[in-house]
Amino acid sequence: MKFVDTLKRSSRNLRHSKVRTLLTALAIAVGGFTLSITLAAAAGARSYTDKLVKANFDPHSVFVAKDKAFFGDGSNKPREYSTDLASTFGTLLKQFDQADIAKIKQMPHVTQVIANYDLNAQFITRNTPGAKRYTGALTVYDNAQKPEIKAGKAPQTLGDNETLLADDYLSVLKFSSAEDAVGKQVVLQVRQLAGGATQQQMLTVVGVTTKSSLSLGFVNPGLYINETQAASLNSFINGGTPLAGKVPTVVVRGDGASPQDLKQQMQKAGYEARTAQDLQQLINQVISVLQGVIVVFGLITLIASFFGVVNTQYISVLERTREIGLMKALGMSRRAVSRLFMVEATWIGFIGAALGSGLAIGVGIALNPWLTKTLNFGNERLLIFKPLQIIGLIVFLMFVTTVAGLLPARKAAKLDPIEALRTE
Amino acid sequence: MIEVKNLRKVYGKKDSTFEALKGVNFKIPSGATVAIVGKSGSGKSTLMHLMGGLDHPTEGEVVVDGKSIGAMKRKEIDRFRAQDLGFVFQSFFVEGNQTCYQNVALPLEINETGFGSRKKQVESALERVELSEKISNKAKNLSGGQKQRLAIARAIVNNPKLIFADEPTGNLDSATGEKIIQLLFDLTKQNKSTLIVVTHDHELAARCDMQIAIKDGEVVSVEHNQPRSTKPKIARAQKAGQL
Repeated sequence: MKFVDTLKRSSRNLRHSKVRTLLTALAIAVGGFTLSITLAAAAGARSYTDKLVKANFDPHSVFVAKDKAFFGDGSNKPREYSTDLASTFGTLLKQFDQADIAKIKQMPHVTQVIANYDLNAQFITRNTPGAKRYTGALTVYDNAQKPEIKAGKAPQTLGDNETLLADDYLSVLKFSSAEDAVGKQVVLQVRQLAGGATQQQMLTVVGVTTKSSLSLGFVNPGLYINETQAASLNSFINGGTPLAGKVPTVVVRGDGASPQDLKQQMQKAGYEARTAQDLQQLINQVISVLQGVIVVFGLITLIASFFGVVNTQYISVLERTREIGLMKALGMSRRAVSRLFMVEATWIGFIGAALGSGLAIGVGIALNPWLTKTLNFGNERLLIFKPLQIIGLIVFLMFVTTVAGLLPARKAAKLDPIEALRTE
Repeated sequence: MIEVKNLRKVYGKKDSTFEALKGVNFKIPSGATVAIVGKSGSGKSTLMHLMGGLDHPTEGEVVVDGKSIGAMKRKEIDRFRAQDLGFVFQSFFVEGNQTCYQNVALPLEINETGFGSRKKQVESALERVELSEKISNKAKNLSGGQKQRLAIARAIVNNPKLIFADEPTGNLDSATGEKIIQLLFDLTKQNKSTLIVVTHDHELAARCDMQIAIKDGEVVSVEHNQPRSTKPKIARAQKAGQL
C-alpha cells in the first residue's frame, strides 16, 4: 500500500470514530499543553534574565571580589580571622584594600578599575526650610551600567558636586516632578563611625534615575556619586576603623581582552571574579531546574496518555477485526496492515499535540498582558512560544503515540484472515 | 490450470486432531467455472482457504499455473492474492462507512496501482456491476444485492485470474441471487477468469462447467457439465421447485 493511501485510509478511520479519536487526542493534548507552556515560560524567563543581566551588568566588565563567600560558596564553617575581614551587606567578607586595587590596576590588559565602596548617607535632605531627612545608600556611578534615566541625563562621568537622584526621593523631598528636580540641589550628610563627627555636601541633581522593570532588587540606590568622592567619603566615615579604605567589590574593564580572560587573570591573582555571562548562566541554571520539574510532570501525564492510546488502538483493532481480515485476504502484507494502525496512532498524536500547543498559544496570548502586569515585567512577555520548539514538541508527541500504536499494530498484523473473516 | 495434489489438512494437535481434508486431488482448467459442493463441515471452506493461500496445507500442494502456493514466501503469497485472486463472500464484507469508490479501490491500493489508472479501473468495475450512479454513496446505504454487486466489483477490479465466491447467494433472496450468479458468470467469462464457487446449492452448481462434490474431507465426485446453455428463466423455475 502506498504511503499516501495509508495516510488517507487511517485519517478516514479516525474520522469515522470522531468522539473516540478526540478523547484520546485530548489526553495527549494535556501533556502537549503542559509542555508547551513550560517551554514558553522557560523561554520567556531566559529572555527576561538575558535582558536583566544586560541591563544591570556591562557585558565587557568583570566583577571581582576578594572573598569567595561573596558569590556564595555555601560554607557555614567558622571563618578564620583575617585583618581583611569587614562587614558589608550584613556579612563578614574579606575586602580589597587600596594596595589590592593598585595591584589590579597594574595588571596587564586592565584599563579601568571601579571600586564599589559600600557607603550609606546619614541622611539625605534639601536646603529648603522644614525639609525632612531620609536615609539612603550611596552608589559609585559607572556609566557602563546604564542606569535608567527619567529626567536629565546620564553623563559620561559625574562631577565632584553632581549626583543622580533615585525617583523614590522625588515626592518625599517635595519635588513636583522629575524635571523639577534636575538642576536643584540636595544635601548629603555623612557621619564618622569612630568619632561621630558629621560632614555635609551640597550636590546638584543632573539626572533622575528610575527603577526599570529590569533592575535587580538588591541595590536600591539613593544617590549616585563619582568614585573620587566615594573614596574620600569612605575615608571620612570609616576613618579609624578596619573599614577605612576597604572595598567589597571592584569592576574591572580591559583593553579589548575578553571578560573570560580577565576573569582568569583575576583568579590567578587569588581573587574571585564573575563575568556578566557567568551571572546569566547562574540564573539560567535556576530556571532550568524549575523547568525540569514541570517537564517531569508533563511527561508523567504523557505516560498516562500513552496507555490511553495503546488502549484505544487495541479496541480499534478488535472492532475492525473483519476489515483487517478482508484486507489481509486481499493480499495486504503484514507490514502494510501494521503501518496503517501505526499511522493512525501518529495522527492521534498530531491532533493531540496540535490541540494542546494551540490551546497553550491561545492561553499565552490571552494571559500574557495580565501576567506581565502582575509580575511587573514591564515590556517583557512571560510566555514566549518559539515555532521551532512547538514543531519539535509536536514531532515528539507524534513519536510517542506512534510507539504507543506499536503493540496494537502488531496484533492487527498478526491476525489470521480466516479467523477474522469468521467474525460476524 | 489449477492442480490440487493430495491435499491434506489436519486441525488441532496430538490427541484432539481433526482431519478436514483427507487427500484431495483434482485439476481445474483455466477459464472454467467450478462449483465446490458439499454440506457444512464437509471441508469445502478449508479447501477454498488452501487454494486461496489463506492457510497452509498439512500435506500436498496447490499449483496455480505451474507455481506451488505452498512453496511461496509470505510476501509472494500476499502478492499472488493481491494480483491474481478476487474474493466474494457470503456476508459481502463491504465497509459500510466507506463509499462504493473507496470499497472498490481497496485491492488497487493494496496492489499499489498508480493513481492515474486507478479511477478508470474503479469506474469500469462499477459500471460492469451497474452501480455507476452509486459511486460516491456510502456502502451501508445499499441493498443486499447491491452490496454483493459492490463486492463483485471489488473482486474483478484488478482483473484477477481466479475468483473465489464463498456462498455468494447465501444472504440473498432467490431472485437477487440469480442476478448475482448471472453477473458473476458473465464477468468471469468476459475476463477469461476462473471462477470457483463454494456452495451447497445444487442448482447453482449444475450451471457451472465443473462440479466437485466433497463429503467428509474427500472428493466424492468430479462432474463435467455440458457447456453452459441453461437460460436464466429455466434456471429460475427449477430453483423455485427445488428450494
